[in-house]
Amino acid sequence: MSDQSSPSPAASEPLLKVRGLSVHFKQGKSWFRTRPPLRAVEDVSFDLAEGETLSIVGESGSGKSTLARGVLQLLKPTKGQVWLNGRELGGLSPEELRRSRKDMQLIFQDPIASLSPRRTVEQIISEPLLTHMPSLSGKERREKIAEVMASVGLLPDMRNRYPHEFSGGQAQRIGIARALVMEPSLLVADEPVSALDVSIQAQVLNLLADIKQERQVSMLFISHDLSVVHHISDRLLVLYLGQIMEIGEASAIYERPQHPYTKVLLSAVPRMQVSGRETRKRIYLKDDLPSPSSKLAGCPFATRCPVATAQCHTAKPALTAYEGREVACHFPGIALEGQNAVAA
Amino acid sequence: MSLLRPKSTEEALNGAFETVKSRSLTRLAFERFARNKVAVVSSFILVILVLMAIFAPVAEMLTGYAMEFQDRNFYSAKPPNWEARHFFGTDQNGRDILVRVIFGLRISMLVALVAATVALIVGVLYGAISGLVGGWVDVLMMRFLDLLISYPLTLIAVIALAYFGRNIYIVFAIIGLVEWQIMARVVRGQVLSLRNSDFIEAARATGAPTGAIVRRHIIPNVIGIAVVYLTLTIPEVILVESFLGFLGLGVQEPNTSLGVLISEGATRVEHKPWLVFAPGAFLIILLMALNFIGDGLRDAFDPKDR
Repeated sequence: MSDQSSPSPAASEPLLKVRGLSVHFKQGKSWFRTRPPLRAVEDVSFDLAEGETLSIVGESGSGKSTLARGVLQLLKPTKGQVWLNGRELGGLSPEELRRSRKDMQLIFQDPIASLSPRRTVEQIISEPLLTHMPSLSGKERREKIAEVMASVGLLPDMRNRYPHEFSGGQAQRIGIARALVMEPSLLVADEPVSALDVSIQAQVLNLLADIKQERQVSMLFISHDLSVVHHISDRLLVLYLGQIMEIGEASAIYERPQHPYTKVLLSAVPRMQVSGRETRKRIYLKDDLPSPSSKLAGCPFATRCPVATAQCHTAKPALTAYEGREVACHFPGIALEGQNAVAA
Repeated sequence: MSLLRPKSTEEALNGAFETVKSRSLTRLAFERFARNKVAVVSSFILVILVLMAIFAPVAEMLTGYAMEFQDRNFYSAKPPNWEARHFFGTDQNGRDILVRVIFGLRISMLVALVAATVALIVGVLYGAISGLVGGWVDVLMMRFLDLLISYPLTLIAVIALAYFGRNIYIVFAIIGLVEWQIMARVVRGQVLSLRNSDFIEAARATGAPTGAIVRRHIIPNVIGIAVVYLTLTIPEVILVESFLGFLGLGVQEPNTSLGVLISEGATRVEHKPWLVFAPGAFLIILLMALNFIGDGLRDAFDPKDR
């Protein structure tokens, strides 16, 4: 069991091992030309230790959710392998994969939409139990449900209510209860708080932090909001156009981002500061994300990077160790106060 | 972090929650339907009409005229005569119109019931399979529907009736086979949108087998819409049967249906309007009641109006 302070344990086999994962989407074929595949996730590798939380951050369209669904095999990866507890998920038969889903659960972005509108809370939470532990008696099942409902802060008499009777925050607690009832070793939270009010976000984040501490569950936490990620993550994975830009310990990346893209992302996080004393510059990017279906020869960020050189456009930088983390940049740690950066 | 934890507020909110009675979506839909006065009145009228059709022989007893009885004193279509208890008059052969209308109602409703059942079973199965399997199966199944829909109903009916002879069961089969197409399309559309919904993905993510997903999540969410379209299909079926009857392709004498009665009466409507009045009135009331019920159900099940 690793605790929050220790670095990722390389000695023992990690709970989740992802190697060279790519998820491409076929695009509509017309009679006259075939369109190139959309490369939502491209060659992503990382480990997740037991009890560790890895946050995946990136802007909209960077492939965060696709990466999560690729890891969970809800979308079939085009390339690459995923090992959970030493089992290669891609090599399992559909039936074996279905059975192994009790160890990996997903929390959704839109809490209400993720709950079947015609089923009660109890029926919703009982679904994994019915699937994976069909031998449980009705009484045992109700006990387990009551237990997990209490642990996420739902009252027992809510069990016969329907999803439309709950607020977003309460609905997300139901979704979390459903994910926890099988006591999975891996929890994937896909933007679990971005659809909630800011005041409710804090409650749900606290709940997830408590769960992480009490149950020693490993978590993949996906968010586009770096301030949300800050409290909960041990390590950070920065994704851009489906590729890893920077991966390493969260606190180190927060304090000293090394990849230009990470610097830009972090500069966009609002911070409280003494009025009139601007301590850092907000960096704006000019264009939108390039199309993920075009195959770029160089660094994916080169088209928008304020400090890109000719080399960046032609040669793709590999993910290499730098300052205690891994960075995919030809010039890690380069200062952004350059010619193309537009200061606020 | 503890500052971000307003436990007391949360508990207070939870406390307020307890007093509200929990209601399922079906229950809410029923309550909304019950508030719709037109729909409720229509339901009562429909129940009365159904009872009349089921107990049609009672009308024979009340008026004293059997359906096939030809009253010699009232040959060649006489107007309503209360003393003789021909409340809506008689037809060309001196038969009581009210009794014949009630028996006609019976046939029309039977056609509606059979054809709507066929439409429901075939349509829901076809649409659900097409939507769930998807891919080229979906394309093939839907193009087959396009093919069917492009043939005019009348043509199919005329050919089939000419080939198999005039038979009420053929009429049932033809109408049922035509009407299931719309049901299939509606169900397919619903299944397609459900298939991509978050809660189906959530069920898949928990590892639920496909059969359980269909049983627990797809069917309960499709059945409401299927019922609504069923109530809207029934009037259409009755109209189609009336139309076939009007063309002389429907049921055979001495049996009759609302459509046949109207078509007979329509030829003499200028001189003997009572021939068409009773069957026309019954048809209009039946169709309007069914349409209002269908509208009421659709509004009641509409999840947007929670």
